[in-house]
Amino acid sequence: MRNAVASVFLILLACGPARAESPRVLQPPVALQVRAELPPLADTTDLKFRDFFALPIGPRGLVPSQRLLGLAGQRVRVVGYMARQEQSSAGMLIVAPLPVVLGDEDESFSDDLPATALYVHLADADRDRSVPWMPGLLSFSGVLRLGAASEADGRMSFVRLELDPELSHAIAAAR
Amino acid sequence: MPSPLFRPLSGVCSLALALPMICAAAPSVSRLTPPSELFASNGSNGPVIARFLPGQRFDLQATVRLDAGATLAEFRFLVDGIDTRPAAGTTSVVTTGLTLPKDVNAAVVSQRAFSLKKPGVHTLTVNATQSDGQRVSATGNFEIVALERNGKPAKNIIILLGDGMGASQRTAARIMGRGYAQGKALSPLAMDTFPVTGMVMTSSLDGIVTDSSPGMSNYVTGNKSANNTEGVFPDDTADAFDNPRIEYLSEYLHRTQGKALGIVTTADVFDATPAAMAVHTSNRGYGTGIVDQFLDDRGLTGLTVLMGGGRKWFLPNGDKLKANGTLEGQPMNGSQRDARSDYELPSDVVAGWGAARGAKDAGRDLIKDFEGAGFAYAPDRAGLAAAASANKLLGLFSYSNMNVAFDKINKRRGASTIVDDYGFPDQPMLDEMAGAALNVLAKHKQGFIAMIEGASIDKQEHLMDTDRWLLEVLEFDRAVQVAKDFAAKHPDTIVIVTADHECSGASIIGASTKPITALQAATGTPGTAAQRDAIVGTYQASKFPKYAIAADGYPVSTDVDFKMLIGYGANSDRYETWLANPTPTQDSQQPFVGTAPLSGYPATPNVRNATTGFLITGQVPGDSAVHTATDVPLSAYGRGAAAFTGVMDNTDVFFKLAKIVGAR
Repeated sequence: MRNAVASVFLILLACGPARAESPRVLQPPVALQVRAELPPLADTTDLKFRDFFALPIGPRGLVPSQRLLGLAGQRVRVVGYMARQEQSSAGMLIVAPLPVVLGDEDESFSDDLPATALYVHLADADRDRSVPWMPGLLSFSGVLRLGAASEADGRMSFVRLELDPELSHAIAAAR
Repeated sequence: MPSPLFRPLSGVCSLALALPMICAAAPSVSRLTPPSELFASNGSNGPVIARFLPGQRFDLQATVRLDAGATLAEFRFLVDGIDTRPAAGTTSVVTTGLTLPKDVNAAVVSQRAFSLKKPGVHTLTVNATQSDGQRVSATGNFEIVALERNGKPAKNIIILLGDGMGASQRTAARIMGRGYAQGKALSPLAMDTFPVTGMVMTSSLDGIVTDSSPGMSNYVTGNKSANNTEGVFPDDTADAFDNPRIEYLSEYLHRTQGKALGIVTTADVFDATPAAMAVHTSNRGYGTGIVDQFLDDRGLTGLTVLMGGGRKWFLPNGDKLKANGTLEGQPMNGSQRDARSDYELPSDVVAGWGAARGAKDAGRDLIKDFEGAGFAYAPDRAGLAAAASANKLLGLFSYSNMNVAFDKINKRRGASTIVDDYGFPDQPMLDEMAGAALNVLAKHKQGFIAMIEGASIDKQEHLMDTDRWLLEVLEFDRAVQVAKDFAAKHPDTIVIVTADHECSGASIIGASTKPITALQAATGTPGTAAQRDAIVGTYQASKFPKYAIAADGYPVSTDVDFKMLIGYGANSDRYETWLANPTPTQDSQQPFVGTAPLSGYPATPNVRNATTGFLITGQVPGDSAVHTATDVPLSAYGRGAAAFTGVMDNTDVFFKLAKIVGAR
């Protein structure tokens, strides 16, 4: 009996203290997680944030690169970090080249979002789902869309990704 | 959104819903502006809420609730029983686009740009007549503050605003930036050397806890504004730019003394604090209209310098929507201009204030328009230096907020490429911006009012990123030194250092009892035992943390042995490691190929340290720390500084500054 109690105690000790997770944090589906160099993806071009626009940004606005323009309507894969927002918008998430937190409540659009932010849109079947923040380096693949568009969060987007349906469904199904 | 200081419908006719056959309907007044306790409390005098300088302009407004099917036949405003006799075109009646319940029949009546010179408390009455002849009247009050002569007036005002910077933040920056020995600071911060310090109460019109909009607006209008609003009182219309205006200190001094206005910030220039020096709106988020109004109403404000981030609002956007949802003519330049957040003023505001009407013009090239108005444009630090001879200056150094001091300095040291990832590698520091701004403003013979903001003290406090907000305070203090040096050479200058509010409830709880390697090792066994009980030193165990300061004036590192530890009293849930939040890897597509100095950081940066820190449960929901209602210190230097002692309301500061520059 004493050994059983000790065993349970050791098991509990090994588990560590209970770690309360915010309900607004979603562990990303395995298919999105980046844990090592990614193998090539069939019929898909890897696109880096630094290839979106001419860097450094000149004295006026952004200048899209020929590489970006040439991939419009094509399948691409982009690796980055999901921006953490106070409130997520249905059917959409923002991905940035580095981790950012958008403190919407007291900031509005006076934020730390880089100009090269990518708006990822879920598939039509999942467009009503809000996506809680997913931590870590993530990989997104889908069809690249370009041009200014007004987003649900009130921002204008210029580079958008229509997420592959299987990835979109995986996010929608994740808990 | 509930509007403060409106009166619920009077008792007699609120029964009309239950007893329609007994109680006859009658019109009523549910809001009277400027706000007053006399009106809101139905007869109680209470403190006078609205105060103005002699001759300061402000709008009169009332919401008249009409009976169903009735219209408004007539209205008048009376001050002290005398008809205000508004000039032609300066009044309006608005019956549509109201934010009242749909079944409410109401008219919002306005008279624009009223002013009065006679000091004292005055009654404001609105008389309204309904189409069936029924009349209604309501009375409130306001005060015209008498200003005595104050000796030789100052010519220039410099307001240094550390956003979210309370007493704890100043103390912590002193410990880090100056050091202590045997209980004494080795040297003071620049703001510590100001000879006069008082305390400021910061509440807004609608809550004990303000946000940055009234946090700044209250200082420079002399009146309380509601959260999210700038330079206006609340109203019952949906239009964000037609609210009853209060003349800003900048507008008043430009109109009466010919002064120029300079606005310098490390935030996006549309943000609350810079906007609340010059722009009138009830929605701090309407970036397009806010930046347009900066330029369009420079004739009212004397705008001469505008610097910060936020270039995204100044770039032309497309105007027409195509079938696929993208915009016609949009050159994919990153513009966030949007007709939805733009402004077009009603005729009474234009006529009353002489304000620009504005237009919904997302396709506007605002940088080009600033240049056309004689502003030199600086897109980066090199451009700022090249514009040294300018008489007017526009600086837009980033797409949104400028990068924080921590990242800008590490770029200059070659230790980080974060500013490169943002695309703006050559951003000036706040003291460099302050120096450039004051050089331009000093050319203005009638003097100037300048506001210089350390914006990301607050923004990093919301994120509870201790190391980053500490460096923001140090950057801000270097700008304070620039302003003090200017005032020393120009003795007809008053300089104040203050804050709009405190943020996060930051407290200096002590210091680590272990060297930094122990804190780093503890991330491998996260929990209170390893990271709190074994590390946090309080009372005399806190000793005196030492930070080596580099030649650039900033700490060599914030991760030092026995480092200072900061707690938060207004925090959300967070995981604490006590370490500087790691810099992301250089290229997000190659996370496992790090080179020094980045190789010392985790390969997969963990925002908020969820797997490496111990949980501290927050007092507030969400992901961010919040503002507090704590009084903040205000320090003053220069001509008239002695006025800023004691505990004062933020609206009092407006009248003190006006007196110091000789307003009468």
